[in-house]
Amino acid sequence: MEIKLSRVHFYRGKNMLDVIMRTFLFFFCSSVFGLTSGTIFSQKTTIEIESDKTISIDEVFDIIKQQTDFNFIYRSDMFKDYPKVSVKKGTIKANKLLEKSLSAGNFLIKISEDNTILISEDTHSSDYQELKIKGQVKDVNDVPLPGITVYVTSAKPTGEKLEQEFLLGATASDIDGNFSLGAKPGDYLVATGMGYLISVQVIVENKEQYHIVLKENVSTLDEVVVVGYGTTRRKDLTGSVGSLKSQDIVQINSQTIDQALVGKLSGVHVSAQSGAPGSGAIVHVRGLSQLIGDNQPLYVVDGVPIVINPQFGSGLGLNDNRQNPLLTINPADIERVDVLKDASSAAIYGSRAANGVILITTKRGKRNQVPRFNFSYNATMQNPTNTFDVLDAAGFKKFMVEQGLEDEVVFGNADTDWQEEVTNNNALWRQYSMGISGGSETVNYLVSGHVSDQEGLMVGNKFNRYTFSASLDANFTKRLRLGSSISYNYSDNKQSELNSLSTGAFYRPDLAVFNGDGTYTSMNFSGIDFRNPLGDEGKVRNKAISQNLLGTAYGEYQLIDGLRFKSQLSLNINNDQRDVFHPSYTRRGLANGALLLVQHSSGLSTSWSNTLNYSRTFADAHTIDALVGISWDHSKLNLDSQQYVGFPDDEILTDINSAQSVFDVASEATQTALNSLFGRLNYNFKDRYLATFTARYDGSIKFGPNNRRGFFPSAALAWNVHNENFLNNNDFISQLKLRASLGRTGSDNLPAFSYLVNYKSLSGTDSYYDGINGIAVDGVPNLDIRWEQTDQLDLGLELGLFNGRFNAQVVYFKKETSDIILLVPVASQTGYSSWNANIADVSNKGWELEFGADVIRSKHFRWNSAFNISFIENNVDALNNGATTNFGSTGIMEGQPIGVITGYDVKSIAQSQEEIDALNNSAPSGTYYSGLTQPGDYVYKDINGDNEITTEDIAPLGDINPNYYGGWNNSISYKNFDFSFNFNFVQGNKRNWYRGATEFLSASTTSNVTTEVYNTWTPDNTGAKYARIGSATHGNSTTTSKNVKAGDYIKFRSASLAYNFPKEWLTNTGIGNVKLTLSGNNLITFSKYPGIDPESVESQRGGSTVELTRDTGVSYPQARTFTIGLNLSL
Amino acid sequence: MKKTYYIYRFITSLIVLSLFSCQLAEDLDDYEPLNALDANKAIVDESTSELALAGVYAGFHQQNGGSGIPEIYTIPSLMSGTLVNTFLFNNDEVQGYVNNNPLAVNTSQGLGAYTRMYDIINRANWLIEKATALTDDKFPTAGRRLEIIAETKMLRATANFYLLRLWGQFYDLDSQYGISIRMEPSRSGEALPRSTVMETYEAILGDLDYAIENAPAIRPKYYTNLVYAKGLKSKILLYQGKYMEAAVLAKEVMETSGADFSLTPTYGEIFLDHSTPDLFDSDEIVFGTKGDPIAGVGIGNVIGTIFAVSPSYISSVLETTTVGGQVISHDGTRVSTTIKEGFFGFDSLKSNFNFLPPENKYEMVYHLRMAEIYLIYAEAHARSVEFVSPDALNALNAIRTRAGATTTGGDGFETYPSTISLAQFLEAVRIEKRVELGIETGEDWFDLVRYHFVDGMDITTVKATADNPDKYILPIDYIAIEAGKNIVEQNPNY
Repeated sequence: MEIKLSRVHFYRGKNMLDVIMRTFLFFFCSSVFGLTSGTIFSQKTTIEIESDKTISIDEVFDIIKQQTDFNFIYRSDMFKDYPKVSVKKGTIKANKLLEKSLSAGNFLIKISEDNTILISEDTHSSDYQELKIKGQVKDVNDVPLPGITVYVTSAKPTGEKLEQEFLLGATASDIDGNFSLGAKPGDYLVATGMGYLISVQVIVENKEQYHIVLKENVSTLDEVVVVGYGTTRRKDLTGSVGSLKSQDIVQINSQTIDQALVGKLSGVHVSAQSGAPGSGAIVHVRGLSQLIGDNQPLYVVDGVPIVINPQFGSGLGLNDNRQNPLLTINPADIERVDVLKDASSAAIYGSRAANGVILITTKRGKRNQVPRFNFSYNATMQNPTNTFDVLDAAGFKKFMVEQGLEDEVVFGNADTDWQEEVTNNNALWRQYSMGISGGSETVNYLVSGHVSDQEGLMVGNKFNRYTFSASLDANFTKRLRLGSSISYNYSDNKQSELNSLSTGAFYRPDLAVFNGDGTYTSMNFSGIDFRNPLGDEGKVRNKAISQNLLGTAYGEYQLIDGLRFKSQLSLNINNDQRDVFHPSYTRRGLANGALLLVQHSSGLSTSWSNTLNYSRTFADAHTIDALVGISWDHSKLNLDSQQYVGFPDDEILTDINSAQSVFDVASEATQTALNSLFGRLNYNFKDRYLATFTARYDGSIKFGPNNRRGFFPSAALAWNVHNENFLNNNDFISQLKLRASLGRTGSDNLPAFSYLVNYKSLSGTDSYYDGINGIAVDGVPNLDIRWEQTDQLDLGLELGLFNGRFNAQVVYFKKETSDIILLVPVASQTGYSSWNANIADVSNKGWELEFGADVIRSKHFRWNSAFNISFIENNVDALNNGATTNFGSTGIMEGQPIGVITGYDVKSIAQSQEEIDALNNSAPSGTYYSGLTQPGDYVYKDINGDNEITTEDIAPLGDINPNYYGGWNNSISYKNFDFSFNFNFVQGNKRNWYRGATEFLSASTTSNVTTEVYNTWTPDNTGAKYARIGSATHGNSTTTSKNVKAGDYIKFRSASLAYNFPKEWLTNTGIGNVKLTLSGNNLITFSKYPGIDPESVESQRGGSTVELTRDTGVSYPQARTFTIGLNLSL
Repeated sequence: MKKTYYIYRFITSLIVLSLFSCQLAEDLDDYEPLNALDANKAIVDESTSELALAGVYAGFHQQNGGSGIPEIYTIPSLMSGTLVNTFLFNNDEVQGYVNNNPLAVNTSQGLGAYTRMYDIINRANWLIEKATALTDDKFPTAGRRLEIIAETKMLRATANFYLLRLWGQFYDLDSQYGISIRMEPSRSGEALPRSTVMETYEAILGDLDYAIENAPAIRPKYYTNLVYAKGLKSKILLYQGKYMEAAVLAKEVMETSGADFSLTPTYGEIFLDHSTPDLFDSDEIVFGTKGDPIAGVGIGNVIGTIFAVSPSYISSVLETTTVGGQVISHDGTRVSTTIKEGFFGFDSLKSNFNFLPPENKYEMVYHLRMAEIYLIYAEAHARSVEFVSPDALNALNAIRTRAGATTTGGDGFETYPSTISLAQFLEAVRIEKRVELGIETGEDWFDLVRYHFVDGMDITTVKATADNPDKYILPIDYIAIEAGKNIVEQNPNY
């Protein structure tokens, strides 16, 4: 909200009284630390006068405006004919200057929250006043809002802009949100505040009390956006930053924030890692570039960097199953999420920013707010979104008969739905939250606690979680502000080994769960009885305890006006302990006795950043916001694991002390240390031309001595066309911004110290001799090893039409990543045939489109609809003989996108022996393909035309990258109802549905099959989709195109309906607000994917992106949830 | 006001300064790798030197993290025809070895073996450099520092020798095609050019001479020792054509090494019981790499599965040589008692690693054993004096007698008579080594090559496809050459 009133030149010279209201009300409100402009129009604010002169009041205001952050608002004709003021060369305190200028009149002066100085005549002198009105401004949660600009105008405001000519009186609400004004019936009472929608009411006769409820403006350009080491306003942005606020986050019911980003932001592709409670999501910002390891962005929670998958070379670190580190922070404690997508915004994070940066800001108390207690309870019912369509007992028996296997199996009489048996029906998830927040003029605080008690979908799965967070910010002096926050998480994730529907789905349906005597049914393999899944996998006890602590403390000191120094220290501690106990009667226990696997990981990250920030406007035109900083980041992660065997007991004596022996002891550690200098310069000329320059200079223990420090610059320009005179006050185009940025970011996706030669015990027995666990050097040092480098171009157009009622954004980006690290041959006389070197190139380019509209904007009915879609093309440009492993590069091929699936293209199904003979006869070796033996086998396509199938006929069949993805998000409010619903969609990604490739390799008496079995080739079903049962051509070793399936989907991701109890109901209850919410997640999925869910993936070693190519059907199922929630505040 | 301001500034600066020196703002150079010792600081005393020495010995094991062993021993056997590949393993590369036309690019076995030898050399170079820089007072065991260096140098000499005879023109002392001699640890990816063959031999002999001065007289046989230094040196002198010196040294080994280094009474006892570590106690062994239940040497894993003892080799050892009308069989039962027919072909019992019953958990790489010393002596002495001396003949016949040869003067598996001609004798020694040392480290192949270049022997009479002398040695994989910026010159005709 911008009010440009001080340009109005009207004078008025009579009836000015002598007394100046010396009372200035300062509402120094900082809802989130660091968001404040920080400038107080205090005793210390000085104004420089260049020469002795006599000037008008408006000129005085102009001078103050130029040299401070303040704007003025006053009735249009107030200073008409008012005496001029004479000022002398030199400096004068701002309040003195104002005092001096207005000494000839009787004015009431107030300052609103957004640094607007409201000047009104003393009410006693107003001649137009007929009615004295008063009232209170509150937000939708009934919280009083101080510092809101409230004014009366005779013309109905047409939009967000104030019609200054008709301003009759103005004020700002006080600490309790109260205001009073003079007005006439028929005038309009208008309230505006930063971050809120404008409120307009007609003043009627005989009504003096007016209640104003301000709704938060979700699409405002004044929204404060968090960028690296600071904040800015959306209208001042020159780069691509996507933002989510708390109300968007809670729409997805999840234990961690990553899941909640799905479908909300363009350029951000989110897919679920697993449906298991507490598990994370796979987040890819603007495509893929890393060939080894993951492509997840850098998360920064309140300044603490969190890396989802730290890079380990090999071993335990690669296979360790740690809990999601984002469990550190509860989504309910998050105020907002900002995703830095382009180089201009992300380059300030330098060598870690190539995959984008996700900034998470936690909630803090608000200043000038009475203590507020908030309690909420959510109960969620969860059920699998989908199940395998397997044969029932009758179908299974018939199938066995058809396969001629009936003599090899003794059928049971049951008809068990094993998927039903291995899952919890209506699994219940209860969440309790309570919190207190508030603030005085100098202190704000927040304390909250959450208890979550989530039953998993699978039998034996229980996820209990306790989180606690607290924050405090205090102004020690006018110049010194101190603050601190702390978040603690304790989660206890109990699972059995029933962790996918397939554990149950493919068990024999003719067997019951229990025998007549209450024992578990079993199947006999090679003379050993194996219990059914409930008696076996269901009895495995997998318990993972995760403890996370995140703490920050900062001090901010204002050195001189506009110049602030801030020092922030953050730390994050993660501790995971996993114990998996396999009782002696389970599959793994039967071999060597009961088995206990213990894994432990402990991590510590610290970050200390010191910044100096200077912001000032010169000559009412040039605004500079500059930042320089220095930071130290360090993190360390230690892992260890052991296996213990032979326990006297399966239930109680299962501690490690009771074990007979220990084996497979392993340990691994990783660390990073980064010392950096960084800076940013924002330049703004009259809100028309914006420029941003950032740079970071990173030194890291990951970079070799020849490349110890990396420099990551960026530059961006933006043109606010709508602020040019020719578009100013245009009713049609309210915003038109063109922007371009170019810059460089890096990825430090490599283990530390790989440039050093170390002596250590090599893995396996590579340094073991004659009973001595010896030591040996572990590699040849690549002194040149360094970050992977991404150059990114970003071109954007932002458009707002009809007073911001319709918004659109179109962005084109191009990312070129070079120096990607792969294993590369090295002179083997060094003792090593390959080493890690910066060698490969990958490019991403694409379009991001966002459209938003207030479809309906009326007093009681509001519908905001936002649609986003992103198109991304990915390509591996050059590998230069590099490989991801010593055994080649699965999923990586030059000229193809990352995550390419290769295999044989199925041409048809052979229908006759003659057809096969003909193929064999024309093959040079006499055999077209060894697997092709009978009618019903697949005939693979001969790509190279040599008339037989060899490895040269393996071709790309698809890849994991969507052609496009996006979401459609809606929020509707009608009176006391709020309704929101979200869709998201993905198109063009492929996955190897490996379960399909193996399912019909042979018919087995021990496992059930899906109804796809009716779609396999038989002499009577020659038009079948799949090859005959038992064919060697199904593609279990080399993928075939038959199993490369489209992962396209449209998901009705969430819907929620909230009802705010009318205030009348709550009078005399002591309760301020009651909200009842009904919501659902994963409601409907439209997809042809044959697996359980088009998002299903298996856990990837070390998060490796290329492992997303395969789905063997064993992922934890996604849940469809229904939640009923109650939120009340006092 | 101003004063207060300065006080503020002073205090702030002080706080900032104090923080700069703390852990939070540690300099990058102050960080140390986790769970790994800086190679320059790792070896500080006797115990760390012993650990590093174990790490060098371990290089001759089959490695989890890469190939090379047992390929270094199987490739020459494939080229000589004592081993063949089975249907399980039939790629272009292995066919290249079997057909004596090795591939020059994209090799896995060849590159692996080449790299593994340099890995051992690199491990040795680090230890030699660090232990040399230490003082004796860090070694509580008197003389142990020099012993450790000596043991390490013998291992380095062994690896260099294995490299030279597979990738260098070891048979031509004037050849420029030696190998790249690396005496310093690998501290960067830089490649060194090839040394000449003469320089290579000098480097190897330099290490062995050091060992002869400093090596421990005896340790368990899976550690290098003084006898190994002398024995290996005599073998290298033989390769160099310095027959007199070779013979003198071999004789010294045969006569002065004591009872711990002597021919065992029977041939079979050297190999056949893999169930206990007694295997390593044999007096026959000069030096062998120990394979135990925790770390195997790998030969037993591959022979009988992806490789098999060649049927033509098995039948060829039954051929005969006629000396003065006496028809003498080359072998009695040495080959037939150390093979076993299995599903994939003939397995060798010389390396028979198996966890399943019967449990055979111990095996070794027979780098050098006494029988070979006898045969080196036999050949070297005969070549040096250019006639079949009784000493040389006795050395050869000692091996045959131990294997069960009789001395009746009749036909069959008999000792060779003194009437044997020099040419027949040299050939008899070669054949004896092929029988006696077959399926161990591939020595028979290098004998063929030596005999070709020394005597003009036609190798195709033994291995029909070995018709191109340039292909008697392997190419250095071109990928490795390119990675070394083409500093290393390829062998001729590859």
